[in-house]
Amino acid sequence: MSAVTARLEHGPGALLRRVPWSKLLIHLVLLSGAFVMVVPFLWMVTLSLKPLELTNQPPYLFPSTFEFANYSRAWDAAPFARYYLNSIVMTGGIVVGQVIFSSLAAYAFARLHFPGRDVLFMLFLGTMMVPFHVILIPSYLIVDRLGWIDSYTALIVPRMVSAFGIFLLRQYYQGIPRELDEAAMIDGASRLGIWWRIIVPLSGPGLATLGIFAFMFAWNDFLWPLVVTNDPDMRTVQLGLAMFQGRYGTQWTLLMAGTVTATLPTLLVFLLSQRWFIQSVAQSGLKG
Amino acid sequence: MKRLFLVLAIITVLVVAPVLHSTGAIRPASAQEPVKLTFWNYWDGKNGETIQALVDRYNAEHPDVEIENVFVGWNELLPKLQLAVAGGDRPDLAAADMVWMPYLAKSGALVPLDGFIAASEIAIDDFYPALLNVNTYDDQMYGLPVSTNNLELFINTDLVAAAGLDPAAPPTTWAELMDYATQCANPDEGIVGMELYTQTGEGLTWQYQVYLWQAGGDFLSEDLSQAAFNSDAGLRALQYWLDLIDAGAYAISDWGLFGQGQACMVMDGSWMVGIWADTAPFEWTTAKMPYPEDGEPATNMGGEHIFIMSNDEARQQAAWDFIQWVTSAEVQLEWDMETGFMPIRDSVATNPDFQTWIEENEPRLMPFVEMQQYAHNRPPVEQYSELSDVFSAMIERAIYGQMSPQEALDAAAAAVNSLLR
Repeated sequence: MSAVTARLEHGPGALLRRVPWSKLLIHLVLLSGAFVMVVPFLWMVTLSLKPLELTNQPPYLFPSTFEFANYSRAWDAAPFARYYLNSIVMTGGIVVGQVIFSSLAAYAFARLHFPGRDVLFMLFLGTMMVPFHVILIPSYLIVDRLGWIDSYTALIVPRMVSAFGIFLLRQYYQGIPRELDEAAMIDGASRLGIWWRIIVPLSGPGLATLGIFAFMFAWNDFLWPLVVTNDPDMRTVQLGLAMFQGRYGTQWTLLMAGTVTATLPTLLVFLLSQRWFIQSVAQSGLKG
Repeated sequence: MKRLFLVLAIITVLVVAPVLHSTGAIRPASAQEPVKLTFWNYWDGKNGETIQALVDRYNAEHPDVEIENVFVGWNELLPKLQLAVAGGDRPDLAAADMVWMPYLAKSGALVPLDGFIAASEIAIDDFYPALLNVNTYDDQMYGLPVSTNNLELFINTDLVAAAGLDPAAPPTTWAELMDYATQCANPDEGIVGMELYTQTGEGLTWQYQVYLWQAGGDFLSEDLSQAAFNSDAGLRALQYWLDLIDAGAYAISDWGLFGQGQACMVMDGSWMVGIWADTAPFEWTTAKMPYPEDGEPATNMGGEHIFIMSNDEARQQAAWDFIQWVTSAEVQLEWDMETGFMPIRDSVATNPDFQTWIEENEPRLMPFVEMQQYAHNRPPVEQYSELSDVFSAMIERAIYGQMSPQEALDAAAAAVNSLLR
């Protein structure tokens, strides 16, 4: 009798019951979602590895040819080493500038009391509503009159302050207990000292978030670098990539190879800051 | 605290240093130095290499002038020229798409060339008149053609031969094109006979214009004040497209079938000769675009025009000297052989050296060379791109059967006229 029961329990019905259906379903949904997200990148990689002769053939999703020469060809098509240097300097300047200035301004808006503070903050927020295209030509004319065309100054300085960054960090700082400030003040810390010793160490995730946003914005920015640079030596990576789309046809394989290369720094920054993200959350002790 | 200020100080230096560096970089111009001209253009690949080589040679032969050839991407050039017009840094001279010329001329940023032309010995009659029309705005000439191209028939000889047709005897009339395309089409395998451009945009408009001109019509009235396509010729051209679709010679699809080997024939530009020579996975040839028996040979053209933007008289003169050189018959011959552009001058098209070169290197360019003289220019009005968009949107409705051909042309004419007003 028991042998029969045992056999029954190992039957197909029992096996089906033991399968974690809900988990399987969730993973299936997640997997298909991930696939949809990955397809454009996979497509980009596949196309970047195609030989030129196959670009007119019916498309396929997974790389079956590996024309690595596309990468060196794309690199040689323009002075990309110089473009990367320009992009790195510009992005570095913007990220550092935005993090420092936003942090200082956000500290003032979150902690200091001065007349017109809230109105000023609202005005700052209001600037986020103005599309960049509206101020493009006036901004360009100012930069031109200052003689900044074709300089890192033009690429960096006008974008070192961001209303979004100030807003983001102000909200973050308001979440840090005021008692910490007050304790430091009793111990004789100055305003700047409190900002540096109390606020900044506690706002790792906030600063990291802003840093990532600023990086993505600066690295991918196209219009402003286009407008303020005439000298080919001052062009950035994104401007370099646009050159593969010519009047008489687009060099898709080279464009995609160049795009893959230009995407890697973003990926790297994300992977690195993701780790730092988690660390800073754990260290600050303010989680939850 | 000390460390904090040190950090801030370093950052300040990092930020300020570029400012100081850039102001230090300004050099005073010396009277002894050659005239430095900046020349913007969007020629890339082989075209870009050729213009760079020509500019280098010009600089070597003219020690008193130094032209800096600056490549600006095709999508980027017009916005950058618009900024230059708005009052920023402008190049001394530039070469740009011919369809932008009326817009740029109207902006007032271009230097009229009539005075320079009159004072020089340039043989202006040698240029094809349609190419000069593009540059004429308010009876002043604002640029000279430097490169051009036109549209003719491409034939996939693999598909044509498979359908039992003779690739060596391509169609020459609309009636023959209809038969040839219908016989070659193979709907079971998704192969169309004659590919048409049926999406909204300039692609549709400039293809349709060829059929319109072939049927004896015109796009705008002679004074460019109103639509002229709303005519018997316009209706005939549109009806011909609908007949091709009805006969099964074309099935509505995204543009690009010919390149994928899915179309027996297409009308496309001379620049595709070089591209498909490298990438097409099938055998192909070219022929003159068929036209109606009672019609006339015609094609559309594109290309680049060169113009002066400098405000300084000495620079204008130096720029004009370069323009004269680069549009001269000798330099043009070399330019066309290197790049595969079509001749802008009759003397180049009929030059025996040029014809021999074509026959020996790429005989498939010959129909384009022979037809350049019949190329019309798109109307030189500054609203052209909006005009082309509304026009093509209406034609698309006729193609999808939402309007009758006459209704579509009437609607397009009304829209175009309101834009021109």
